[in-house]
Amino acid sequence: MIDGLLATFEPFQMLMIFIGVFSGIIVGAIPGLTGSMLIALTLPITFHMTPLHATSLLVAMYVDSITGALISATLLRMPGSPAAVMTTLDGYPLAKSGQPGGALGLGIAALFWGSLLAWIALATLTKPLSELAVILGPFDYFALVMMAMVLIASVAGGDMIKGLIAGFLGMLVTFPGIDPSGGEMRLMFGVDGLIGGFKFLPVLIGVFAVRQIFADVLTIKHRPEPVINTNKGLFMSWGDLRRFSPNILRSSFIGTIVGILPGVGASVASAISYLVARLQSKTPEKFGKGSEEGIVASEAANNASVGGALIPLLALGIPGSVVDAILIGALTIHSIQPGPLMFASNPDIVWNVIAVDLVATFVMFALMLGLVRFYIRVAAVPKTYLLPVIMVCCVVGVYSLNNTMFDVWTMLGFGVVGFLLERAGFSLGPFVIGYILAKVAEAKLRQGLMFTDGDISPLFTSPLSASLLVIAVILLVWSLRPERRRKSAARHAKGA
Amino acid sequence: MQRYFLPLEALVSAGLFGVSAIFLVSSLGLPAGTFDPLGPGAAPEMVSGLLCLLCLVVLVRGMRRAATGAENEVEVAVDIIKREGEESPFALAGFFGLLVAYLLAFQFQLGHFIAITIPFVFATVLLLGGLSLRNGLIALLLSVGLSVGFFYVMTDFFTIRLPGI
Repeated sequence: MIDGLLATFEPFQMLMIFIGVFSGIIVGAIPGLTGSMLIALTLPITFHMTPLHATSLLVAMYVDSITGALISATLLRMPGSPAAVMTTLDGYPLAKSGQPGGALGLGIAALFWGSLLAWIALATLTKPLSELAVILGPFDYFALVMMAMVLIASVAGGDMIKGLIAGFLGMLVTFPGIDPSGGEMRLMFGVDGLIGGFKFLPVLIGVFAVRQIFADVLTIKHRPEPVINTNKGLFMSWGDLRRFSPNILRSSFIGTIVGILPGVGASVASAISYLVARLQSKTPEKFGKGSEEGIVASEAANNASVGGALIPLLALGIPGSVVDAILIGALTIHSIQPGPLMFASNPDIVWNVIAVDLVATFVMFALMLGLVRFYIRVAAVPKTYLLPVIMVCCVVGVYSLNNTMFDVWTMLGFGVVGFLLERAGFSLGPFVIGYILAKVAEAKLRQGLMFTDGDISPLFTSPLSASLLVIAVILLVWSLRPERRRKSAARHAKGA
Repeated sequence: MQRYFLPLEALVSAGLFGVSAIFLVSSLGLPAGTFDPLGPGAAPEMVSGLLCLLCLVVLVRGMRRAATGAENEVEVAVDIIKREGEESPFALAGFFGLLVAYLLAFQFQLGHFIAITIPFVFATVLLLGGLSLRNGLIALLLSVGLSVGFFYVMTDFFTIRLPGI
């Protein structure tokens, strides 16, 4: 750990962290641009870096891409990311009432403490969890992936069936190309470009960047109504810190726990902690009208969930959110396989990731307080000029992978598919997580069957895998229940 | 006459059903495994089979909703009116057309990266921002600056090969 921390102070590494945090905040502040998009577009540039520098840059971007959303949510009434929706409810009214600096200051302090508290969990829980995960057999791991898939689908957008469809579609996309276990060609449909399958980056940039560009072009007429910012109240006083500390602690705890759960993500974390803060508040009527407690709860949980999500990512190789899935893919491209063996195979990288999370938190705090006016200006740059630039970056980034236009057309195809799926109400989170987990799930199942000479029964008789499958079934039934209830309520209402 | 609307989710599900059915049929024809009992076709069969099934569920759900035609017609009409003011489908169609033309120019190597990127960025900025002198000037500066800057940064600094070169 100490070595990891010391390594972050190497000048080029520090520069990478600064660039990562700075660009992460900017992307977070611009509504419509996401951390997933930023990481995907930066990946081709990191091919020329050492794995340590590349992970520092990508992790700093990952940690802080959620942070900048506070600015646009508070001053433009447009959440820069879905996770900042709850902040918009109170941040904008508070800013509009003449306290924009105060609203931002509360948010910045809350996300700093949330991030710091989640880091403590990250630094202390990751290694023990990875040691526990080493004892997982192939069937246990397969069952764990299945449970994660069901959990992800059940929380995605509220419609379990659509979530499962998106997840299975993501899995299906990984199958064309050379079978990783046997080496046979499969499902190539006569297309030579599919020998290596649909590659990670074209699919990713298509689904997250190109799809988002299409969505932004469609709503290009929409202009936010900005609030004039003043820096008054930007620095939180000790009195305020004492006053909000129970809220910060509670929300950070909720954020960290929700972050650890696969696929749930920051938006659910902020919503839960916001609701809990409202229940615990002496003035619940202020929520939604500019409540300071609401901003603190939402932002502390937001950033804590990011640190929490790094725990299963590093210890199990299971993504806690969409950005995590992308980060796993990015690390894999750099020949780093997140998972139980990472502490043994790449200890320098894993401790570096943990150290970067801590250093990036302090850098973020300084850059948010120091450059808030600059971020506001950047967030207000019209998309008319931004979108063509990002589109060219997408084309160049994807082309540079293999110098082939096939990848660029793949990107465009997946951009269209992603756009249609989202318009039709299918969540894209399960899609990308299914895409990442499919290879692990297939490999582990086939490996398990090879060990047992084709006998599948250990999957259901081994205590751990059986328990995980039972949890998956319970989750499945549980998440289908409200749908049935809602339908029967609608039927009753119609009958009446 | 009663009009029926099929929700977009049902249309998308129908498309996905077709794709997964093709995957299912193709994976059924894959040989048995050489080294392992499961073989290369088992996982695609399971996933595409389940996907077919789930798509059918959403498709049937959508068709049942469409069957309550009058109610659905009002819903869709309201939805269109609501979105009319804030969405620009023509801008999206134009942008998509320009993008496809941009990629085709690279595909058929019709010119250098800079020569192809300048008109794409210029036309896109004008399409999204509207025709005006100010916008035209910004579009010109942005398209030339981006194309030339990008070319030198990518090829000289990152030694990344660009399309059209």
